[in-house]
Amino acid sequence: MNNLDNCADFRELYELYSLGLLDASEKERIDEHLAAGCEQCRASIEQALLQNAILSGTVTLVKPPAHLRQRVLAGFGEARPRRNWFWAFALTAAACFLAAIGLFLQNRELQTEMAQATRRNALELARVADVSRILQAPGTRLVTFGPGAAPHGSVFVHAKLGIVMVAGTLAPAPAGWNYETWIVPASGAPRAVEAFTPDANGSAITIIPGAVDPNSVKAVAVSLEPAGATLQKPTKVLFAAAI
Amino acid sequence: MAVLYDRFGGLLYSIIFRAVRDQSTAEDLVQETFFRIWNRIHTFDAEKGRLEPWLVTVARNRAFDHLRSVRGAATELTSFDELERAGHFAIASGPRADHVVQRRAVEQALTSLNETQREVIELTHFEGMTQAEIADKLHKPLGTVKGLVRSALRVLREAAEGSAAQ
Repeated sequence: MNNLDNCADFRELYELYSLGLLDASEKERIDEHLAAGCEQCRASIEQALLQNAILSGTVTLVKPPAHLRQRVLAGFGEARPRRNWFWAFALTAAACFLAAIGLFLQNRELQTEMAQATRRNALELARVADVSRILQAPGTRLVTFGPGAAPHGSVFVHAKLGIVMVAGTLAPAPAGWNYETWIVPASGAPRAVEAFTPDANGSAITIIPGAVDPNSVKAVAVSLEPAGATLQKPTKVLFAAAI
Repeated sequence: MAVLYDRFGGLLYSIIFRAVRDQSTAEDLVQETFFRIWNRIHTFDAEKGRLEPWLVTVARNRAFDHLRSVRGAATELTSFDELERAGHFAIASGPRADHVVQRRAVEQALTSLNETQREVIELTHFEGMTQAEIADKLHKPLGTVKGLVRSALRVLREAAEGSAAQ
């Protein structure tokens, strides 16, 4: 497109713009136009977003696997790390928030209650939102491990906020053993940071909050450890995701 | 979140699965999608916008980010951050029935497209391919592909806007 003279010309491109599919030169011209404050085009962008959503909604429906529901919902509170105080807050906040979502979808009057519940639990939510904050923060890097094999998953790394590991296809820990997450430094001994228990579908999410120096951390690893053992080095390493 | 999953989980999974065509990857991306939704649900105002278009957008963007990452295209996790703000969907205000009518109109309009137009829309909206990538895939000049995409989108846009105005 070499002749973008007015808003009507741009309007033809906004669906592709909001999908991130325009050529660099076209995108640059639209960015410049929007930066100039064209309200008509801002409204057109919103209309294009809706149009794209409607079109995506015409997809042929496929029934998701039955275990996915459990896996998704388990991600909102069933992992069991060592820091009991953290997850006490997390579970409380998640329960309140889930209740709020239910109210939100039932009717407008109940949605008001959801907003009030959300405000009441703002402090607790701030803690459990650590995971989401890392996932969406600019600069977060995604590392996948074990694709196509068990176990597999993703590690999200943010230099200032910390690390989130999402793992799947984990077998239940044998009796008397626990899963443990380790930070493997570039030099020196691994450091145990988080115990966890996979849910019934073998999924688990662990969070390691705090700054991460990418030059000093080599990998995130998961091992099986005897219950009650002193954690000085990994006993049975299951996998390590290089970061 | 259970209510949200029960109501929209199937649709979001279908959109993501259609794009990535791999069950395990689709499951991972659905989980990421619900995390993102969970973190931002407080920004959504039910009186000013509709939930479904926003959720669909978040899900599709997760799938596209993944596909671009696999293809080695430039990407970052927050590339769609600005365009996923719930406030953008404020203009979608109105009864849910409107949305159903618009979707039906668009579905009908899709059947009126010729085969090549339908194919380019499939590749852009369901597989996240750029027009240059489509030109390579279909062995057509880039200008031809751009013309096909724009004419198809025009038909679909007019169908949605026409149904909304009725």
